[in-house]
Amino acid sequence: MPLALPRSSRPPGLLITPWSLESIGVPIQAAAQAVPASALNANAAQLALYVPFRLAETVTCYKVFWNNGTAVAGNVDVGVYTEAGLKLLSAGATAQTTVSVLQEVDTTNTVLPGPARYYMGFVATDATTATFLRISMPLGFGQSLGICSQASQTALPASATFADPGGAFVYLPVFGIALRTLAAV
Amino acid sequence: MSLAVTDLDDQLPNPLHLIPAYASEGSGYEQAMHGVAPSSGTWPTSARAVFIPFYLPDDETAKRLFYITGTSAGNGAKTVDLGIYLAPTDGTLVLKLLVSTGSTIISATASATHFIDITDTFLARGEYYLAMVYSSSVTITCLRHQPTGSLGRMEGIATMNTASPLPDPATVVLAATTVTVPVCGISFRASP
Repeated sequence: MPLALPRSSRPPGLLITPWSLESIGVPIQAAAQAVPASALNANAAQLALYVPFRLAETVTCYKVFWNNGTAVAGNVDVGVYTEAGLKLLSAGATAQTTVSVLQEVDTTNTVLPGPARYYMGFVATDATTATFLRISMPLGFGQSLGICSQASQTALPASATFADPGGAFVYLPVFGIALRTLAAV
Repeated sequence: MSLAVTDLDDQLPNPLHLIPAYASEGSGYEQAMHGVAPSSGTWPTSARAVFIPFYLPDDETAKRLFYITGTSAGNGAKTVDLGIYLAPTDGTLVLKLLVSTGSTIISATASATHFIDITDTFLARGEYYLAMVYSSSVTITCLRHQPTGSLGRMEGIATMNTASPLPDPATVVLAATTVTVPVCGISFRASP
């Protein structure tokens, strides 16, 4: 009979976003950042963002998602990368469709081994019309949270080249990965 | 055959960047009660170092330390020093310096995170303090928050006067009044 060892850690959340304990959620809340609101992406178009997160145990990712604002345009991509920058899964470039909803995209069911550290990737191709739920952080704060960026991406690349987003980066959209099959609204 | 505790390790790994004042491994939950966003401000007293406690759930190697300049950046003369201290296990407030940046000219670039390379330093699972000091309280700013004395004490914040550059050992006292806590941290990656 196999020996079953009790888990000693908190199980991962079913949805993991930048606001989660597994990611940069505690620093965001400790720094009293505002509730996300609908607004233009406002980061440069095609600027991929990579937000660090960590897993205490192995999980399976079923879907990715982001939260549209009150206007939609262009394509969005969300995915997961290893700490070294290798893409493990992504939605692929997907048209932003319905306003003011959590837009979800099915991905190949992908096991993410844990304990380990990863990055969540996000890119939007339109910066003049498309809106998302997002926050605006103090200048320089995003860098300190370990967020990285990569310019000129129409979809998330197979291999990320992590770069410093620079002091001008302040906008963080609501997006994430789902460890369950979400139900479309 | 015996199992080591590390074989059962399924805690969250360390974050890639750790800001003790905001992290779950530091005083992030307590600071959340403060409910005030960080803002640009001057250092309260020249050469008064601030010590922010944190713990590491796993062994890790610290590679860089960082701070964020405020809206009035460095003038090429004043310095910042950041360092990691081992928290004593005997209940005292005498801290041992493990690694520091040494006195470094404060960047002239405003409102940005500034990383300073340190000697790669192994940190075993355990408890530590991150310390930061500006040599001057005049004009030059950093991104910081200011919990009241009681909240600062609850967060475990400590201070030491005439501590630029950061001394070894450091004999600290608890924050007595409103304390300035800078947004500063440790990076466990070499870049970016």
